[in-house]
This record gives sequence, structure tokens and C-alpha cells, in this order.
Amino acid sequence: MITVVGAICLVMLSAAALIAAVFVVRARNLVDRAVGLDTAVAVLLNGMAVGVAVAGGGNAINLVLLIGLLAFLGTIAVARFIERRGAGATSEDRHTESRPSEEPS
Amino acid sequence: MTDLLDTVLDVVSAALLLGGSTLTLLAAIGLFRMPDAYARIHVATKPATLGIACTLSGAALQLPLASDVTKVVLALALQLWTVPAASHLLARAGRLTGLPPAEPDAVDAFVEDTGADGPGD
Repeated sequence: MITVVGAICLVMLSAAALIAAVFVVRARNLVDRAVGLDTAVAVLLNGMAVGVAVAGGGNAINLVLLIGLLAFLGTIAVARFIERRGAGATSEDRHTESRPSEEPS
Repeated sequence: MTDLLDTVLDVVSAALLLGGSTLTLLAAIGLFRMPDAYARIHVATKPATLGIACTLSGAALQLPLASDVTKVVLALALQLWTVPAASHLLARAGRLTGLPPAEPDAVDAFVEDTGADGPGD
């Protein structure tokens, strides 16, 4: 039973990963992009937890710990960078017209 | 008796895994449905945190070794500590650099407390 449940979970998580990847590509500013990458890491951790549950153990448990902490460090680094440099395009939403000169490349 | 316990643990674990994955999928969908960066931080962080908590708990119920369960619980505790702090830092960075909210007339406690200018001024 746990194998079938794991397969269903991984299908949902694949869809979530695809959505997060599209969001990261289409993000208007650095904060949105960092949020999208955070979501991608959350999807990855969920997938590894499902894998651990199906396999009943293994090395992936250590990786869940490690990736969670590394994602925290990365988000802190991006937040410090944004505080110093600004978030890129700031004065419009995705519904309004973009200004390519202010987009972070 | 042991068979019954195993079945109950399997069912609870499966429900937690499915619930956690659903929450993560909802967080990813919510990224596209929210109007501004602050709402996106909110919608991406809260379901993702609860989703990871659910999924790791469900995984812990499936593990036979106590050492593995300890590692999973440790990963869960670290996630619950670090994810809100990281998203708070992101929101703070966006606010300090003037990222505009979707509703400019919304209550801004930062302006009320410090007398600072609103974002975009």
C-alpha cells in the first residue's frame, strides 16, 4: 500500500516542482525568485521524505537534514544580497508592463 | 495485535504523506494566484512548512530503526525553526528595499511604528 501512496505523492510533487520551476523563470523580482526556489527546495525535501518512507530507511535521511540546512543558508544569503542591492524591478506587478532595464539579468 | 498496529500505522502514515504532498502542491499553485511578493511569501511558506511536517512525520512512522526516526525528527525540528525565519528575512529584505504591496492602502505596522516612508515613496 505504501508503494502506491508513494507513487501518488510523487506525481503530485512532480506537478508542484514543475509549477515552481515555471514560477522561478517568470518571476519579476528577486524576492519572488527566492520564494520560488524555496518552494522548489520544499518539494525536493517532501520527495525525499516520501522516498525514505517507501524504502524504509537509507542514506536519504541524512540528505534531508543537510539540504534543509543548506536551503536556509542560501535563503539568508539571498536576503542579505537583496537588502544591499535591491530587489530588481520594484514598481510593477506581473499584470503591468515590464521594464526590461530594471530586470536583474 | 501486531498486525493491527502495523495496519493502523500504515494508514496514518499514508494519510500524512498524502496530506503533506497535497499541501506542497497547493503552495506551488498559490505562487501564481497571489497578487504581490508578500502574499506569495506567506502562501509559499506556511503550507510548505506544514507539508514538510506532515510528510516527515509520515516517513518517521514507517521507519523500523530508532536512529533513523531520531534523524527524521531532528530534520523536522530544524525545518520548523529555519523556514519561518528565512521567509521573514526575505519579506524584511523586500520591505526595506521598497517592494510595493498590491494594496497600497493596507495597514503598514512598520510605518506606524517607525514613522518611515511607505514603500515606493
